[in-house]
Amino acid sequence: MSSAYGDDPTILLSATFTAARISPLRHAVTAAAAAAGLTGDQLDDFVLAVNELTTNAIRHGGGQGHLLLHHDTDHLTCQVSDHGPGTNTPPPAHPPNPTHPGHRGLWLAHRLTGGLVLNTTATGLTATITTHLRTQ
Amino acid sequence: MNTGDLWQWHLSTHPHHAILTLAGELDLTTSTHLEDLLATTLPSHPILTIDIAQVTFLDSTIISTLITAWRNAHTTGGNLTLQHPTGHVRRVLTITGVLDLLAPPDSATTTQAG
Repeated sequence: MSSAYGDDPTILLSATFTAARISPLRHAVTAAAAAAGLTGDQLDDFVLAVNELTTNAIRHGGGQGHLLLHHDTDHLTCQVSDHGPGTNTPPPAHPPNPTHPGHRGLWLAHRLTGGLVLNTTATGLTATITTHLRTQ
Repeated sequence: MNTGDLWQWHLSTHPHHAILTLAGELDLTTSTHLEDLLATTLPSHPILTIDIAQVTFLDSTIISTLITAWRNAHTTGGNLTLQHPTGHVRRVLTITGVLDLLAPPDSATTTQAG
């Protein structure tokens, strides 16, 4: 399997989205991530994490964003960029109190993938998550 | 069932409580509709059970919606309980720490029996 992918990143999906596209985009990410080799909880965790990033872009990043899904031999990576104000605060280490609505999205993306990277630039926020692909 | 592209709901009423059955995928695009549904249902059915056995996807916006409804129910002397979370939905509710709040084990046993 790995020889077919090679070491250079291969782009699986590249799409600009608004709120209306969030559900079909999630379905496309599910199909692409499954084809890349994710299964079970790892697949569902990754898809939900991506969904949290696209939702965050819609709600806090100017109402639209761009998703880039790519993989190399060992990793599947999703990058979601928006044009919002961004944040200089790292994802919280602990989930919000259960009785408090809100502020779970980025924490959840971080918790489900073990590595959410936030990068705020002059043009907006880029959020990146990565998961390991099991090599056969 | 009231049907949409992604999700469906059905409300069954009983003398002292009501059961709202949800099915499908719940995300940002359904959260406003679900908020409205809960806001109109809770005043007339303050003891509300939400059956999510057939919910296959649920994200943080829906968890926020459910917590807000749970708070509103308790503020007015009612109660809101989730029952039958399965698969990844159960995993997400557990990870976020809200499973015990929204679906306490004793209430699940009671509602399953009823």
